[in-house]
Order: sequence, then C-alpha cells, then structure tokens
Amino acid sequence: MAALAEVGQTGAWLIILVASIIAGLLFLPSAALMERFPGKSIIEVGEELVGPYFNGLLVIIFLIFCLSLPALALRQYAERVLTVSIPELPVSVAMAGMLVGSITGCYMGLEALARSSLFVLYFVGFTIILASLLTYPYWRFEHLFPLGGPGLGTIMKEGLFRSSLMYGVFFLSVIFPSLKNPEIRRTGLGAIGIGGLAITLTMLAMLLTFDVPVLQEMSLPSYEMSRLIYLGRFLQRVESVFVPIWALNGMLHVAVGIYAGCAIITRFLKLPYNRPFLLPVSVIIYSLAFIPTNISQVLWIDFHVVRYYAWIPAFLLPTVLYGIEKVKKKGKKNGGESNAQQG
Amino acid sequence: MHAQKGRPGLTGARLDACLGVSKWMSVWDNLSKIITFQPPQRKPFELLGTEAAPGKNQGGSQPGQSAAGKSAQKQAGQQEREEQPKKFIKPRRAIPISVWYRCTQDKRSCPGDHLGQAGQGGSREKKGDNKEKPAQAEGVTQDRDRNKDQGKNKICNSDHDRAGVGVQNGINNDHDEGKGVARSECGNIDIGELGRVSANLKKNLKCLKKTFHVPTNKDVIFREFTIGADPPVAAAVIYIDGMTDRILQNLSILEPLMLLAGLNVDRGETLLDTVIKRLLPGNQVDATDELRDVVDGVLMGSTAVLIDYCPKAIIVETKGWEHRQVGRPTNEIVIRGPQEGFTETLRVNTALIRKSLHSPNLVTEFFKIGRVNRLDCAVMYIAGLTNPQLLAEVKRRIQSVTADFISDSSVLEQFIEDSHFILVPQTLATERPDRVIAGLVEGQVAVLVDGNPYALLMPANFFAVFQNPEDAYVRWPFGSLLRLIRLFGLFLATFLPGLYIAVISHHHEMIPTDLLLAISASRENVPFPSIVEVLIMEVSFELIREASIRVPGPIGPTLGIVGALILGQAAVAANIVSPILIIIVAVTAIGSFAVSSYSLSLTARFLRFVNILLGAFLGIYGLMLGVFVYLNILAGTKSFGVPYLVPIAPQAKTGPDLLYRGPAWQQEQRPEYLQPGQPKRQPDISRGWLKKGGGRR
Repeated sequence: MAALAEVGQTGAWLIILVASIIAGLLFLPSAALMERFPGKSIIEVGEELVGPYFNGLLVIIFLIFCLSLPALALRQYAERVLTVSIPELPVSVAMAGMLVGSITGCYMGLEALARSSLFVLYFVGFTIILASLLTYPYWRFEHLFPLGGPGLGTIMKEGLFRSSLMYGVFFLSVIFPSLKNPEIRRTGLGAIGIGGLAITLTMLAMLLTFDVPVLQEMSLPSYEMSRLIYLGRFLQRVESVFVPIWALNGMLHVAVGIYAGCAIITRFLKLPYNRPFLLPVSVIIYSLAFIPTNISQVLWIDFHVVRYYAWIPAFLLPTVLYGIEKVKKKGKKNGGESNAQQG
Repeated sequence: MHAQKGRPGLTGARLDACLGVSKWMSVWDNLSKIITFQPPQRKPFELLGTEAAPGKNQGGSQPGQSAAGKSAQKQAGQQEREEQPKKFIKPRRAIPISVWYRCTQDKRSCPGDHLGQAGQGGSREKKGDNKEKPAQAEGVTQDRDRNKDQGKNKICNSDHDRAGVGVQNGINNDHDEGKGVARSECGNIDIGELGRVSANLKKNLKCLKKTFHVPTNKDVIFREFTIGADPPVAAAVIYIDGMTDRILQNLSILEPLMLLAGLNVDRGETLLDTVIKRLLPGNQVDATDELRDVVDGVLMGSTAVLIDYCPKAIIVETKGWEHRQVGRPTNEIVIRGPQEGFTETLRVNTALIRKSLHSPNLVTEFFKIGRVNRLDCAVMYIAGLTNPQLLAEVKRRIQSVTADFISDSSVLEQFIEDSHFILVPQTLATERPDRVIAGLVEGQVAVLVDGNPYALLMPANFFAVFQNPEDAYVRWPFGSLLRLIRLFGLFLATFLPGLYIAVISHHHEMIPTDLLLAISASRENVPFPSIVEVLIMEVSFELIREASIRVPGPIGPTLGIVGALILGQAAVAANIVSPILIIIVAVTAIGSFAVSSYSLSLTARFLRFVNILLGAFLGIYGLMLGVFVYLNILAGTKSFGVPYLVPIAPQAKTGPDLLYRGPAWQQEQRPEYLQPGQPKRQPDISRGWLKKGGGRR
C-alpha cells in the first residue's frame, strides 16, 4: 500500500479501482477458455491445446507463480506478527506456526478451505472495516486532492500492471473440476469485484488518514492505522488484536497457495491424490520464504516483482491459450468445410 | 416310524373311539401307510410333512426355505413325498390328536400362517409393514432379513436341525459353516443362529438349556408342566427370574394352560391356534419357529412357551423388571417447557416421544446391536419427512456394527460417527423427549438405546449442539439473548485463560495502566510464572469438578465448597496464585456451565488447555493459530454427510433459528441441509387470524 502510494500518490486508490476493472476484463478470456473444457483444469486444457512439452513449460511457470506468492505472503505475515505482536519470537517459528495452520487446512480439503475462508471473511472483513472506520477522527479529505494523482496515463498503466493484485482468480482455473457449480465467470468476477472494492476502500481510508509523504514512508500502514485507534482508557493498543486476526488471512493465503501447488503437480502428473505433496510443497514454500533477508526486501520483491508481473501467468497465459483454442477451432471448422467441399 | 415315535396317545383303542367304525378300514389303510412308511434318505418324518406343502408355507417366515438354491436332494425328497399320502387321519371332528398331527406334520407351517391371518387373535404377524413391534420380534426379524440380504447366511436349520436332531448342535453348526453373518468370531459367546424349533419338546429344552447354561445358570427358569387338554400335552415355559412379572405369568400363562385348557377345539384349528387365541390372554403374543427368537425373547423379559409336537414356540410379553420412573431431566433443565426426561427403559422412552408426537407417520424401527449383549436399539423418524438417504445411512451404520458389547448410546455414537479424532460431538445427545421431537419434526433421525436415558439426534451441526430447548420456550428476544449469552460463555470457557496468559505474558501494552499495576501488584508475591499459576488453578478446578461428580451425593456440595472457597482462599493467602486468577478461573467455569451440551462443554475444557499453552508460548498469535486450525477442522467435519458448520459455511436456507431465534410464526422453513420431504413447516402466513375473515380452520 505504501509503495502504491509512492507511485499513485493521491490517486493510488484510483489505480486499484482501474486495476480491478482491467483484471475483470482480462479474466473473461480465461473464463471463456475454461467453460469450453468442462471438467478440466487449466493444466489439462494446456496439455490438450499445446501438447505435453509446452504444457510442461506452462506448468513450471504456474508452479513458480503459485509457490513464490504464498512464500512471500508467509514471510510478510510472519514479519508483521513479529513486529506488532510478539517481537521476541524467531521468524522461523512464526512461519512454521502459520505453515502448520495452512497444512491443516489443505489436509482437510478444498471444501474445508472454502468454508473456513467464508468464516475468516467475516472476521477479517469486520476488523478491517472497524479499523478503517475507527480512524475517522483522523480523516482529512484534502489528502485526496488532487484527485487525478500522477495523471490518467500513469493511472492506466499502473492499473494494467497492478491487475496482478487480483491474481487469486487464477486459482479458479486450477480447481475448476472441483467446483460444484462451475460458474467460473460469475465467481471470478464476483471475487474481483469484492476484493477490488475492499482494497480500494482500505487504500482510501489510509489516504484519508495519512498524507501521501507520510504514507509512502510506512512499511506496515495497516498496523500504523490500527495504532491510532483509541476507544478510551480501557481499550487501547488494539492493534495487538487486529494484526494477529489478519494473520488468519495470511494463513488462508498460504493454504490456498499450497493447495494450488499440489493440485498443479497432481494434475500434471495425472496422480489421484493431493495429500502426499502437502509436506514437500510446504517445505519448498518455507524455504523460499527464507530467501529475502529482511522485511524490506520482502516488500520490495512483493511490490516490484510479484505484484507487477503476476498478471502474466494469471491472465496473459490463459488468454494466449484461449487464442490458440480459437485458432484451432477455426482451423478445424475451415478444414471441415474444405473437406465437405472436396467431398 | 418317526410319526409313531413319542406319541403315547396314539393307540388303536383311542382311534376307534375317536373315528368310529365306519371309517375303520380307511383308518387302517392310513395307519398301515404310516407304519410302513420309510422316509427317503432317512429324513425325519415331520420334516417331510413340512416340505410336502411348500405352497402352503409361503406366508411363513422361513429363511431356510426361501433361500435361493434348494438342493437337488430336497427336490427329490419332495417328489417322493408328493407320492406319499398327505392326509394321515382325516378327522370327522376336530380332536386333539388330529391337532397334533397337523402341528407336527403336514400343517407344520400352518400355525404361523394362521397367526399371520389371525392378527385379531392377539398375536402379530412378522411382516415388515408394521414397523413398531416389540424388540424381540421386529428386531430379530430384521436381523434375519439383513442376513438374507447379505446373501451369505446359511442358517443352520439343515434337515437334521429341522428335525430337531441337530438343534442341539446349532451353535457348532453355525460356527462350522463359517458363512453366516452371525458366525461367531470370538468363540461360543455369540448365540448366532440356533436353528429351528423342533417338534420334540425335550430336544428343544435340551438345546435351550445348553444355550442358557442351565443348570449352572440359576436365574433362567425352565418350568415344565402339562397342558390340560384331552389328551394332556407336555409343555414348558422359559423365563428369567427377576425380569418377568410373576403375577402376569401365573394368571395369563400358567393358569389358563394348566387349568382351563379343556376347551373344545374347533374343526380345523390346531392346538397352537387354540393356545394363542383362547388360552393366552396376554396383549403381545408371538409365535416363532426360530430358537434364536426364543432366546432373544427370554433375554428381553418375555416368557417362552414350548409345547410338545408343535414346532413353534410362543413368546408372551411378560416384562416386569424394576426400572426407574420417568422423572425430571437432570442435565438439561429448562424453566418453561416439559419436565420429563428419558429413563433407562427403551419402550418408555419411545412412548414418551410418541406421547407428544401424535403422528401416524412416526415410525420406530428396532435393531439388535452387540453380538453378546444384543441390546435393543430404536431408530425413530417421521416417514415422508425425513430424507430417505439419511435414514438409510443411519440404519446402514447401525446394522453394520458387529461389536461384542455396546453398553450405551454414547458407545454406539463412537461406532457410527464420521470422524473419530474430532473433539466436537457429531451427534446430538439429549435426555429430553421434547428436543427429540423438535429434531424429528425438522427431519432428523433419533436413535435410542435400551438402558440409556439419552437419545441421539443425527445429523448434528455446531449450531444444533449449541442450542437449548429453552430458547424456543421463551419469547424470541429472550431466546436470542440467551443464545448470545451461551455463545459468550462458550468463548469464555474456551479462550479466557489462554487470552489472560497471552496478555499477561506478551501483550502488556493492551492492559490499561491502572489495571496493569493492580495485576502486577497482586502477582508480586507469587513465585511461579503465570503459566504455572494458570495450570495449577485450572488443573485444581478440574480435579474439584471431577471429584464432586464422583463422590456420593451429600458430600459433593461440601467438596465444592471446600475446594472452591477454602482452597482458593488459602492459595491466595499463601501467595501461590494471584486473586485475579481466581476470578479468571471462576468466570471460565461459569462460562463452561452455561454451555448446555455436556459434550461441547468437554470440548471447551479440552481446548482450554491447548489454548493456555498456545497463549503462553505464542501470545495472541498462538491463539489465532489455534482458531485457524479448529476452524479448518470444523469446516472439514461432517455429520452423516452434513457439514458441521452448516448453515453458515456452507450457506443453506433455514428458518431464523441460528444465533438469532426468531418468533415461532417465523419458523417457516425446515433446514435445507437436511433435505426434508417437506421443506416448509408452515405457510407464509401461519397466523390465520391476521387474514381478513381468518380465524377459522
């Protein structure tokens, strides 16, 4: 958020809004592709369209994408917890704890993950709204001006790249065969809409609370915002409660990443069960999370690499597959017509 | 030859007297045929009489005959028998001697058939339509049906058994065959299939004595007597002393049979018919040809009547053991609402439910569970309302349990629950009939077990377990408030000590300064770290709670006072624990008492200790880790295929009866997740008087 404020300044919230709209548009080809192959995940679809060798390349890209994102999330949330809540704890223990929670979720299955996500949504959503609203005494509407921020061109360009913020909808393409009601288009657009709205409002609240120069200096603006909450003498320093609750979000994020990694591997290798891969994938994620040396590096990688280019595997590659499918279909149609004419 | 055997009354003089001179020649012919008759392949005579008329036996419940694949030998025997005369003596008028013949020979299956047709005679037919039957009849029948369905039961009523020869070896035969479902896998403690009732009383008694270990076993009584018919017939009653009503036995079994049996028997009526229809005034009389049914009936407090020459036994319901009267529920007390609780007697419990749920669609099915103790288990549901798949799954699980000993509904619960390592209860145990009725009306299935005052409702989910009948009996604002208070109590019981230790150990900044100073001052003289302090108090409290339950009644409150007040006060005075911790432990205990479900309360007690450790080592972050793990486990748990966190995750339609308890007239929808046959409880406008011109039905 702080880095986004650095780029978008007072128009940072508009960037997220535009990014959500672009993500929604980019998701449509992906959804159309999956709808043409009911009962198949993006891995099987890729194999059918580009063959096993090219599909292997795609799978590697997807795996890197699906493993690096939860690794970064794991490290980020662990560092936040340490910073805010329990500084004396080693980061390895904090990450291991989160990983245990995530593995439990994955072990219980996709249904359990989906259901606990719904519960976590209530808790986390409530606390985010509460934390945003309770800083109302500090809101200054002049912080939003100039509304355009760095200008329309920057907003659009950043909006395209920041569509990576919505990379989570790619997960729908991986679990598509498991969806009870395979309405991937509606589900995906709904998720992008809700997520985009939540991030936009949070960004708006941050901009209202902090001036842009102050905001771009912060490494954990949500924590700083929750620190401002004052509910009288007996309810103070509630950030110690809020931030661990937000760690639930992090655990869910990591769990989804582990599940996606396992699902990609099992579907590519045509294996029947996910569970044997839970531990190896978790160990890989745990190891990847140790690569950045500190929280600043984590945030830099997250903002300048992952959340800048994640739209390529999340939206671009499925769109390319969709294009190939269209071309193949057209070729088949033309071939059929020419055969018919010859016949 | 066999026909002659053991019939002391069959003499030439008596026949002359009975039949008259005009029929002398035909009688002589018949007798000569009987005397010179040689059963094919040395089969017993009476068996041939039964098999000679297979068509007549269709109504009878003889699994052996209905089993697929009769042997070629039997077919050959049947052909030979068809050539033999079926009418041995054609009586001019019905006399006992002809009755015996029918009982034992060609009319072997008749008594059962007559029974089925003559339900008006007080006896009841063992067919599947009438579901509510006494356990000793219905449950056993279903057991047999189950065995037949599984297609691998070879009941040991081989030809020899049916003749009464192999009945004594019924147990061994069963084990030797090794194909039957009821085959014992752990020695001879399983009664399995004992074969059929023989026409030979002595052989029946010998077999049953062996089964009941008589004479070593002293409480099974074999009372042999003579039925005062003309001619007298030997008979015996079998029962277990102490389980039967003696007066009932004397007045309605022994006295009529011994003193009033000299009645004229109608033409075409067998002795068995006469006994059942005229001589046994009991309200539940069954006839069976299975020794296993006899044993089951006797074990359930019935009295078995065996008559010589009759290959069927009569089971008269004479239960009369001591049992607790219906009283107030002890663990689920409500202020408003019924004050009745279940007892240890199954039939009383089913009657308590039926007493308040006057629906012909309420069905009670009985099963036997436990191979050794053969406990009765009732499955209750409302036909047409309960999801048939749910019902089939419940029955499938119960019937598939093959444990030796199931003592209790809580033990049965462990056998049929979905996940064994989940802490939360997956069935709803209640001692309140009204709660069972509410569940049945929603579409749940109730399981009751004899000897246990708790019914199991299934499927269960978190919200059902968490609720209390009181919520529905008070007006809706108070019901909703009570639920919120209980939810808060559950939260306190689970998280308060963990939260306390997390804040004390890791998050001092959360505590207001004044309070922090007060806590610090109170802890200043305590030598232990806070986790040790908390564990000492929590373990002490659990000890007191456990001890106060186990000690004899009058000492319990004393122990509570001594433990809670004196020990707590002394511990504070001795600077072992801080006063604030006493408050924390007390509030936690009160919170756990507010949870109405004992199983859920145990879950909270268990998780409390986990949370204490998580809070002590990882602070609030640790508690959040715990919450995430519990949440995922709960989200992945199912009770009979229904997700445990339904209707919130996954979402499902239901009435306003979750955390918020809506008014009764708003409860229009049955829970969607139960997939009931009728989704609506009541129309959108259930208060007819609100309609214009309403108020009439």
